[in-house]
Amino acid sequence: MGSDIRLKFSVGEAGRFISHLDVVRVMERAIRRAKLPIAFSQGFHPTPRMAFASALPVGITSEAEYVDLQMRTKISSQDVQQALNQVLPPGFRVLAAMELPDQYDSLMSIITTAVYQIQVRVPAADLQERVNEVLAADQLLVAHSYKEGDQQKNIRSLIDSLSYSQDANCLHLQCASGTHSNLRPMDLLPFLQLSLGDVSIHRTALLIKLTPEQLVTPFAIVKGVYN
Amino acid sequence: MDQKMLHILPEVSKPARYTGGELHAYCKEWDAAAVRMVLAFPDTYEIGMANLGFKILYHVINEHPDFLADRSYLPWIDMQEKMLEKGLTLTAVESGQPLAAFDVVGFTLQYELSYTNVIRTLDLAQIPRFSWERTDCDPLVIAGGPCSFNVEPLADFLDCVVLGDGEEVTLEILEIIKKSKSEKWTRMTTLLKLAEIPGVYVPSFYQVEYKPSGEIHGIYPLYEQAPRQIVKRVVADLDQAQYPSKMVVPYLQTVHDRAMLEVMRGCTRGCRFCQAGMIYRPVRERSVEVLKQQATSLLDSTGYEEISLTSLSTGDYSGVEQLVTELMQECQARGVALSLPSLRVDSFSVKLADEIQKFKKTGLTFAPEAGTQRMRDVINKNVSESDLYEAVAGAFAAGWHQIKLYFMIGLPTETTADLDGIVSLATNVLNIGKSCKRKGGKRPSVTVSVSSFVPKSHTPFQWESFNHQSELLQKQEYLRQRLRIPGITFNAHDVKTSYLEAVFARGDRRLSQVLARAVDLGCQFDGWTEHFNFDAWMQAFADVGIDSEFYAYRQRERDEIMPWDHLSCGVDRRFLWQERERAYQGVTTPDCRFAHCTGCAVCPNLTVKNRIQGGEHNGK
Repeated sequence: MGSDIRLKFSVGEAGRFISHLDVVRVMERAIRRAKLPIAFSQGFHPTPRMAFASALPVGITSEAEYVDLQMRTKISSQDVQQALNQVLPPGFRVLAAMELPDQYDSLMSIITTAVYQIQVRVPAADLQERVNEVLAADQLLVAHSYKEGDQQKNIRSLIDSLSYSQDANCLHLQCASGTHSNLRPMDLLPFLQLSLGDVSIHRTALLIKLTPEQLVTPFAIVKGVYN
Repeated sequence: MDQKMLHILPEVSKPARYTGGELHAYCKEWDAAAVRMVLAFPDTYEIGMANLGFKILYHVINEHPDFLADRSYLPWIDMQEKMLEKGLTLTAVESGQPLAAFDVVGFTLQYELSYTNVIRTLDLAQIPRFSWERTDCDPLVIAGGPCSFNVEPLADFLDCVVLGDGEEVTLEILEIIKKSKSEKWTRMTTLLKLAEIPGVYVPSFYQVEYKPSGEIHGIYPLYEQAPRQIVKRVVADLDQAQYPSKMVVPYLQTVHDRAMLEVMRGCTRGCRFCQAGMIYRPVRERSVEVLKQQATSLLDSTGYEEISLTSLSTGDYSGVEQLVTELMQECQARGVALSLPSLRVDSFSVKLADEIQKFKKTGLTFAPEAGTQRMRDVINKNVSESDLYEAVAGAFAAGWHQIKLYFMIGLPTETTADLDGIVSLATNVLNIGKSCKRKGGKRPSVTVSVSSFVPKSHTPFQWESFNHQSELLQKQEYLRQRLRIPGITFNAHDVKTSYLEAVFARGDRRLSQVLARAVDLGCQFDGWTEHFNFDAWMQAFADVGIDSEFYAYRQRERDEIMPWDHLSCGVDRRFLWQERERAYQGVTTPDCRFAHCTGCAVCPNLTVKNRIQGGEHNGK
């Protein structure tokens, strides 16, 4: 049996404007350049066995993206990290890597929460007030297009916390992220009277919420260190 | 990056088109370069990234210690609007420098319908459109690519034009510009020096005079440095030519986003409608050994999951079986797919395709081009009906179930019988599919794609008229009615688009004014169906007072002076006329790789030869 490796990687400025599918291709091509012994899916069109935690919305940088790789042979997590960092394009870096046990839950099935830093690049005198309004609101309705047609979605319940630091002109947001419920941070901007061009959004963490108080990282949950 | 740009990017579609920073981008130091050139692609990033010539020149220039090459593409409409709104000019993707800051802006001309995009690029870059408006402080605007062989419609916009292979001549041009900068020559002096380089054409150094009837009376050089005829450049041995071992790997999904191996250049099949088959002569093959090395280094450096063997007709490469067999071993070990973009219509090609695509057999495309043997003899497409049926039967038997067939309508001497021929070929192909269908297998389907023949310069059909739009529409309708058959899908290319292509493919420099007017009226991205505005084009012709039908529909006399007569690809005009005569007699001309010399005169004119691995006449 080969190793399964979990990677934590960053997406910087150069990778900010690419879609999730592009990120997948970047990783696949880096793995090929590094000549890592990745396992391929069976079937007519073999694809490398990689499973990402979540799709990073276009326009956002991150220091907390995760992907699990299935290898054909035994290989250490440090070797994978080192090999990839030699060949990844600008904007991408593996920050940490760990070997996974035989049994583990997929990243996609466990991630519940994301943390964002939203750097505001325009003067925002009354932003604190607007943050208060958002937190006080029962409903924040966002128009969403679904297959069945346009619908309104209430995003208030997806926000765990939102705070503003005036000195840094920076917002701090913790919110739902994952397959069950998900908030795209840009959907919050209109309620703060900001546009996408006014801010730089950076994801600082992807977490698993065990209880409302207990949040752990995808690495910690495997190590069981939160106990 | 510019702060205004940072604000705009999140608000436009596919912002990664504009940010650069891809793997293997050179990003050379601006101040360290003696000459800086921007390779400007007159279409979107996704299309531009697919162009092999662009990749080669980018590599060749940047490998030179004194020269820097950056890239730019035409921003999509939403980005253009934002740029105009915020007062931003067009910049190159790596350095972020405005195009006007470069010494040279080099366009590639791939297709007539991208001409407005060239002008639009200059406008967005705030570089004066017309060559005579530009001063010593403006960049030199140059162009190359297949359309440079009749670049006359763009003559007023370009300072100079390169004919033929760019690997060597581009560096020669940059050397002159380096000298020009250090010795502070005037623009005029620089252009005079450039005109002395073989293969370089300076349109403003020629005066064109017209007869009262509108035809050309004569094309006259104005300076002694300007040759009477500019002959294209040709790289005799591609194994010795520079080829990138690394290619820029885009973040964004682009067209043909894969490693590209150029197995050969040129084709001597001699199809009489085909411009590429004339202007890229002679055939120059790379050796299997060199190609294998290039494949290994490209796959190592890019990590691409697919590699394609490109050329005008890869099935004609004399070492194709050996190359495919050996590459397949390497590709399978890496989990990389091999692709052959152009298939010849014969069972040999199907066998090759079968070897390459063990799985995922969906569609296979063949181009018989015409429906009857008579018509195929006229155009010198040496494919017989039985070749096609054998190829198709082989394809169905090997597991493909979708066959796409390409045809042209509006060819010289075409009659209803030729259209009926298309119908019967398509029906027969479908029936072969049905008879090959295995139990539980997918139902066979045939797609018939029909384009309108556009007469091109430097071909035996350069004298012919473009079929009238109304006739082409009738022919399309005739076929559509008769191909309403379950299992057959019929597609026809837009006639108006082809009409415009026909006007510019054989246009003269009087059309420069039409192009300028069309851009003013909002024409750009004419190759994109959703942006093609035929009414605006007709308005542009009317405003300038030029009759577009003069260029499209008129049958030329044998001795008429063509707008491109001073631009030579090495093929003799006499040969082209002789081929035209043979077309009307229905006589075919063999491929000189496999039979005797046909007298096109490329080899003596350019002092080169076909370069076939294992020697001439080694092939099928």
